[in-house]
Amino acid sequence: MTDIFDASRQRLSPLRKTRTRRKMPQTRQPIQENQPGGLPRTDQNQTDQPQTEQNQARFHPTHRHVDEYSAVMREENPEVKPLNAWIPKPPNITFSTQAEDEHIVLLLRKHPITQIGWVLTAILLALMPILFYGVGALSFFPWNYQLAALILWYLLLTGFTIEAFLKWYFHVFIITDERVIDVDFLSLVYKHVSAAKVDNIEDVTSVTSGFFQSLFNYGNVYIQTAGAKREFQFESVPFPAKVTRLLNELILEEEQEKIEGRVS
Amino acid sequence: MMLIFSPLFQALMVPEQDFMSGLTMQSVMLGVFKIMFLILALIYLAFAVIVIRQIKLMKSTLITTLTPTLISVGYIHLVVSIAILILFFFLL
Repeated sequence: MTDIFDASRQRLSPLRKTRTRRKMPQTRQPIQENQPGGLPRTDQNQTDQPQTEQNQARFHPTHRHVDEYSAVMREENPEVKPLNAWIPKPPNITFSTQAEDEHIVLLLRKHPITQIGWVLTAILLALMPILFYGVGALSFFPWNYQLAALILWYLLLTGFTIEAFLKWYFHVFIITDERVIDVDFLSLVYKHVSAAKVDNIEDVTSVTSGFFQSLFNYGNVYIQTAGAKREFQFESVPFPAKVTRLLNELILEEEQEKIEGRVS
Repeated sequence: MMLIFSPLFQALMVPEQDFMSGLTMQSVMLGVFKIMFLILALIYLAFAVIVIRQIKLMKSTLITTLTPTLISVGYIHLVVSIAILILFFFLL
């Protein structure tokens, strides 16, 4: 009995390998045997399958490139500039929880126009000492104290600029062919990373409102996920309509994978 | 803000208007300012260390081609903060 079981498993192992898609850091929900598109899990069922179906499954690609199923991404060229807010198919960017076979489809940041506030503030603060020293507001201090005040002012300004830049740079929204990931970097002492699988997405909404958002084509994308009933929010990202279309294409691809039996 | 307070400081530092000698009052005021400058520089040094730590933490979260540059900027920032703290010790 044991020998038969082992022999059956050994014989079917190459087929299983082709059907197993990738190792994910978060465990995928196991597909039930009677679920549409789900693979039969027992060896008995494997052997009962018609030969044609087995061959079909064998020749299914385990993972299609995003260009094959996404019209949005077909129009986009891979972007290598790490400072952009819209980075499709980045070749040189990875993230810590990325699975071996998982690919970043799109990396988003807040639109640069949303950063104009702190940039203007920094410029104004940089000009302030000219005003102060011009009217002699600190002239009653000895020269060394005046110099120290000037140095300290620009030091604090540098700190303000660095913090604002890092907050923008590391606050990213990542869409892979498997998951959506929201990396919140709200301050230097607060980091929050949340992720949801694409097949858990229930609803995607994009909102563009206001003069600047319409002019510069950016807005919010709200992603409602199943399970914990949480909502992801991609704030002020460029081309929100494109993001929504892409997410819908990814959801359809996930469903297609289930139907074709390309999931484990 | 400093424009508003400058007459007050000037009044405090003019010897004739103080019950103590002008030199002593001025010394006290400058001493207070020196301590304030040094404390601010120390706080800023702590901030520079936090910046380095956060860049390193985020480097492992999001790996880009700009990461080595950001780490270098963080270390330069830290060195400048230390240099300014030392400068304040000797300058003031």
